[in-house]
Amino acid sequence: MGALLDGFATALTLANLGWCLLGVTFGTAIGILPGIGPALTIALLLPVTAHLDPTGAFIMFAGLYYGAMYGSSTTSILLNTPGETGSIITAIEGNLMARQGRGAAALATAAIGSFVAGTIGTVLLTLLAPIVVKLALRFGPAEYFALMVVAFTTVSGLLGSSRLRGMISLFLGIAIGLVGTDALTGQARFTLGILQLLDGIDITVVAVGLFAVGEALYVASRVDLRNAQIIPIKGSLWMTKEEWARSWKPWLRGSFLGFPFGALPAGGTEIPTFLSYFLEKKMSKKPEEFGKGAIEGVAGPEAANNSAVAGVLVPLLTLGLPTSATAAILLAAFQQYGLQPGPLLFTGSSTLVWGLIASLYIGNVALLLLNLPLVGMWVRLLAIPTPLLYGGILVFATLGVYSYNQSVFDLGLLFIFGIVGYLMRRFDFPVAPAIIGMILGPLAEQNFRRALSITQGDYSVFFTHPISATLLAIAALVIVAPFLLRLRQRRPVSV
Amino acid sequence: MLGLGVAALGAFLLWETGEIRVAPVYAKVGPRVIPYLVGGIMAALGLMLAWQNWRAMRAAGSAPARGGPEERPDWLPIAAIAVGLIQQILLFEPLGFMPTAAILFFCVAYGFGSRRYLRDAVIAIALAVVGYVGFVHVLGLNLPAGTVFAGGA
Repeated sequence: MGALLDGFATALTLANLGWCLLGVTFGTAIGILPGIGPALTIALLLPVTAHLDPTGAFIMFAGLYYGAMYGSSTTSILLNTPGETGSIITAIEGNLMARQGRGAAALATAAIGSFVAGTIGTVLLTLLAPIVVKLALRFGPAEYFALMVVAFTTVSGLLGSSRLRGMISLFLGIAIGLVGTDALTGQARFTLGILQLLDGIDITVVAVGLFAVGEALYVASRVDLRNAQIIPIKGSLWMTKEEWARSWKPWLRGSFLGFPFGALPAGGTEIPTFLSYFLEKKMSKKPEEFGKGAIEGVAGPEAANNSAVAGVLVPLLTLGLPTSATAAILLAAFQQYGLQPGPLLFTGSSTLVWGLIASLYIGNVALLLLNLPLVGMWVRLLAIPTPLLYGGILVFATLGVYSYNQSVFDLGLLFIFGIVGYLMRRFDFPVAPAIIGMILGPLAEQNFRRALSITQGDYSVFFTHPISATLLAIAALVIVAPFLLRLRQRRPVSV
Repeated sequence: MLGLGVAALGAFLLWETGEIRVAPVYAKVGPRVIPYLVGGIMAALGLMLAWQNWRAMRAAGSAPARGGPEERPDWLPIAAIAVGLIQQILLFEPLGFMPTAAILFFCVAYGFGSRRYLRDAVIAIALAVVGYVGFVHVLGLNLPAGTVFAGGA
C-alpha cells in the first residue's frame, strides 16, 4: 500500500500528470483512427522518446495503452471495423445498436464499462503484482525458459484463426529475433554477410512494417475495406434507468472474467470478450435481443476487454513476459532504457513501476472524461478521408523508422516486412505471435542456454525442477490436447 | 504453395545455421542449438501447412480453401504504394526527406483511390514540410535535407 501511495506521489507531479494526459489523449485518437493501434504507435514513439526520462515515457505509454482501448470501442460501434481483436464483439453488437439509433447509449455503456473494468483491473494488478514478484524471485533460468515456452504455445494457439498459422507466425518472429550477433558468444547468425544486420533487426522496423505498411497494402487492395461507412451518433449520451440497470452487472462480470485471461500467460483479449458475450446472452432476460443490438452484449465484452488489458500488465511487469503485441513492444521499450521487467524491476526501479501503476488509476478517470462528454469531438477524426489518413500514417511510419538508426537500409527492411505483413494478412496469419516471438525468442534462448551452462549441458534440468517441469507439461498439453480432441472426434466419422 | 514456401524458409534457416561458426569451447550448447531447433520446427510446420492445404484442395475440387475470388486483390493500389516506398528508399539521401515524403503521401493517397490530385499534392507538401520542421527543429532528430540541394548551394 505504501508503495502505491509513493507511486501516486510520483504520478501526481505536474510533469508526469502531463505525460499521462498526453498519453490518454493520444491513445484515444489512435484508438479511434482505423489502421493504427497501440502497438504500432508505441513502436513509432520509441525513437522519439529515447532521450526522455523513463518514468515520464512509461506513464505516457501506459496512458496510450489504456486510451487506445477506449478509442477503439468508439470506432467499432460507429464504423463496424474493430481496431483490436478484443473489440470484435463490440463491433458486432455495438454497431447494431448504432444502426437502431442507440449509438450514444452504446458509446456510453462502453466508456463507463471500460472505466469500471479498467479500475477493477488496475486494483487487481496492484494487489497481485507483489505476490507474483515474491514467487518470481524463486525462478531460475530453467523456470523462465519453461514459462516462455508456455507463453509461446498459448499465444500462438489462441490468437488468430488456426493454431498452425499462429505457430508459423511465432517461429517467423523467433527467426527474425535470431538475426544478428549472438549475445553470448559474439558469433554472427543469419546475417547473410550483410554488415547492417550484425546489430540485429529493430522491433520498430518489424512492427511498423507488419502493422502499418502491411495493413496499408492490404486495406488498399480490397475495395470493400477502402470505403467504410460511418454511422452518425443518435440518442442521448445519458443512459436511461433501464440501460443502467442492464449494464452494471455485465460490467462487473466482464471485469472479473477478463482479468485472469490477461494475467495468466494465456494471452489475448479475444477469448474473454467472446466468453463474456455468451455469458451475458445466457443470463439476459431478453436473449432475443442479442444479435439485434443488446446493450449487455456491449457492456460485458467491453469490460472484459479492458480488464484483460490491465491483466496483461501483471506478467509483463512482474515476469517480463509479454502476452500481447502491445506488451511485447512495451518490453522492447523497457529494454531501450536498459531496464528488464521482472521481479528485480520492483526493487530496482520501484518509483517507475509504482508511478506507472498509479498513473493507470489517474488515466482511467481522465479517459472517462475524455470519452463521454467529448466523444462528439473524437468522432470528427473518423471524417478524415481514408486516402489521406493512410498517406499520413505511412509518411510518419517511414520517418519514425528512419530516425531510429538514421539508416536507409532500415527503410528497405521496412518495405520487405511490409510485404511480409501484407501476405500474412491476406493468407490469414495472425501478426501478434510474430511480434511476441521476436521479443521473447532471444530472452528464451538466453535462459535456455544459461540453464544448460549451469548444469554443463545436462538437459534434465528442465524436467527435474518441479516448477519448470509443470510449466513444460502445461505447454505440451496446450499443443497436444486439441489434436487429440480432433482425432477422437474424427474417428467415428472415418469408420 | 504457401506451406512449401514456409518449409523452404525452414530449410534455408537450417542451412544457414550450419554456416554459423562455433568456437569449440561452446560446442555443447552453443549458438547453433536454438537456430537448428527453430529451422527444424519451421520446416515441419511448413510441410504440415502444405499437407493441410493439399487435402483441402482435394476436398474442394481444384479451388484453394483460402484466397478465393472474392478476396482477389487489386494490384493497382499495391503497385502505387510500392512505388511510393521504393522511390523513398532510392531517393531518400540524394533528394532528402521532404520531397520523398511528399511523393510517398501522394502515391499512397492515389493507391487508396483518391483522384483529387491538387488537394492531395497540397496536403502532401504541407505534411512533409511540417513533419520535417517539427522533427528536426522541435524534437531534434536528424533527417536528410538532400545532398543534391546541399551540393548545389
